[in-house]
Order: sequence, then C-alpha cells, then structure tokens
Amino acid sequence: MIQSTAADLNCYTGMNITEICPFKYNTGNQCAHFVSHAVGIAVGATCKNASWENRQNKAIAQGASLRANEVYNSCVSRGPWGERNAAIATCLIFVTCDSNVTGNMMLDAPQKHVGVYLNGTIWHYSNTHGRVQTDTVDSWFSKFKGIYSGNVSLFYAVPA
Amino acid sequence: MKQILLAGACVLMTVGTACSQQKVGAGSGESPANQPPDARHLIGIMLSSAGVARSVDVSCSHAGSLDSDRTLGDYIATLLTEYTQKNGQNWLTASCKAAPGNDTSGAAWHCEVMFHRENGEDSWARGLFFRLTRSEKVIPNSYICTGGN
Repeated sequence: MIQSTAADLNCYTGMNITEICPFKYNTGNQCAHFVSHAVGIAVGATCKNASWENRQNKAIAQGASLRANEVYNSCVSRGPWGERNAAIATCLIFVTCDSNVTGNMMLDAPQKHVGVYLNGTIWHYSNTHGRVQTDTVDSWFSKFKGIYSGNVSLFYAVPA
Repeated sequence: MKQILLAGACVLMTVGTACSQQKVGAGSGESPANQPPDARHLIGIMLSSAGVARSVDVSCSHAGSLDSDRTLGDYIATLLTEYTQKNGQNWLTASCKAAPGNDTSGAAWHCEVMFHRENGEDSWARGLFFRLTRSEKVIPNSYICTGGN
C-alpha cells in the first residue's frame, strides 16, 4: 500500500536523484530508484547492494530498488493498466513493451519506465532532465510509446 | 579519455581509467606493474565470465530479458541486443580504479564494463563490476550487475 500523498510526492518534484538517495547512487536510469525511495521498496538490486563501496557503508542499512521489473514482480497486486480496480487511487504505473511481460512477470529488457500514480497524476524521474517531474497518463504514455519499439502498454502494481 | 566511433557497429566506445589513458585494441595479457588493465582486457574478462550463473549475486539474479536467462552471458546478450537499434546513441565504457584500502580480499583493481544507451527518455547504463587480483584474475564471486532501469 502506498501511503504517499500528493504533498509528499510534490516534495520530490524538481529534485535530482542525488538529492533523494542517501548513497547518491546515480548510475544509469533512475526511474525505479526514485519510485523505490519515494514509496519504500528494497527488493533485488538496490542502491546499497549494486555498489561495492555502498556495501561497505554500515551507517545506512538499506537501499532502494533500482530496477522496474524487480519492483513490479514484488507486488502482489499487478497487471495491465486497464484491469486495475477502479477503487485504486494510488499505485505504481509502468510502461514497457508487451513482450517484456510474460505470465504477469516483467523481464529485465531495458525499455521500461515506472512512476507513482495518484489521482490522475504521475510522478516519475525524467532521465533526460535529471529530475523528478509530473505527467498525465496520456502524455506519459505517448512519450514512451514514441521511443520504445514494438507494442507498448501500461501496467499497474500495488506494493504490499 | 579517448572516444572511438565504430561506425559499423554504431557503438561509441569511451575508454578511460582513473590512472592512465588507454587505447582500444591494446594487447591482452597482464598489464605493466601498477597499471590498470586496459579496455581490451576488461572486455575480454567480461566475455569470459559469460558462463557464470546469475545467482552469483543478488544484483544479477533477475538480470536478463528472457525467462530462460540464467547466466551473465544472457545478461550481456540482453544489453547488446539493445545496440541493434540504429536510433539514439550507444557506447561502452571500461575502466578500473585501484582497490581501496578497506578491500582486504586481495583485490588490486575494481573494474567495470558499462553499456550506455541514450534515445530521449530511453536512457540507461547497465554493466558488470568485478574485482581483479594483481595478476588480473577475477576474485571469485566478486561480480555485481550495476545500474538501474
């Protein structure tokens, strides 16, 4: 269950990942990394265990997940965007190629992106701009449909 | 820092180390004393690690784009497959830095080969970290699959 409010998420808007992550881990795409810090997810590869130096840091016990597929697969409630319960006002929203989801498990193909959805607004990390920004579902989907190859779809997931 | 554009493969290769400038295509084998392995050698080490199971590290355990993926070679194949796209910009970096003093494993070098891609918001960097002895042997189980997306 995501406890974040719009006010909580708005605090991240405009921030670079180095202002959010205590390890200042900024290698690669930061979409899942931002989401995981924002809602508190630490499964699979994290900003702590994906770096030898961060593993030695005893002062910070836990990191946040780095990969959208590991976040998606860790959620008990997940599936195509159109199949989510209408009562779900807050969840994670993913965009990826259909071929990257088989048996409701997301694979690790690079073409995927994730944000936090709340009442029609998506907070996500723009890797082009290097900061958290907001989008509507339609504009977000159009942006990634235009650059990903193959059939592109939206998916939802609700963390435990 | 040196950049070489391999036009046929559409790969921009950036090679740099913390200690010295290196050339792509330099000879294999051990590097001179106190010199980090060059890019050619690091990429060779990465490729020779293809048979290592993904279970070698938690950061690698789900890396790869097929249900059947089981090895670091499968993971590397996933990343290279993205380079078949001709739009955007793809490049590799391969570098080492001297192992820090708090690494008591016998490692001399901390090394990383990274695959980078930028095509608008489809921007990511993923790769493989490993630690090497002075004789440039991989420290067993030192692999970390780095980067997120």
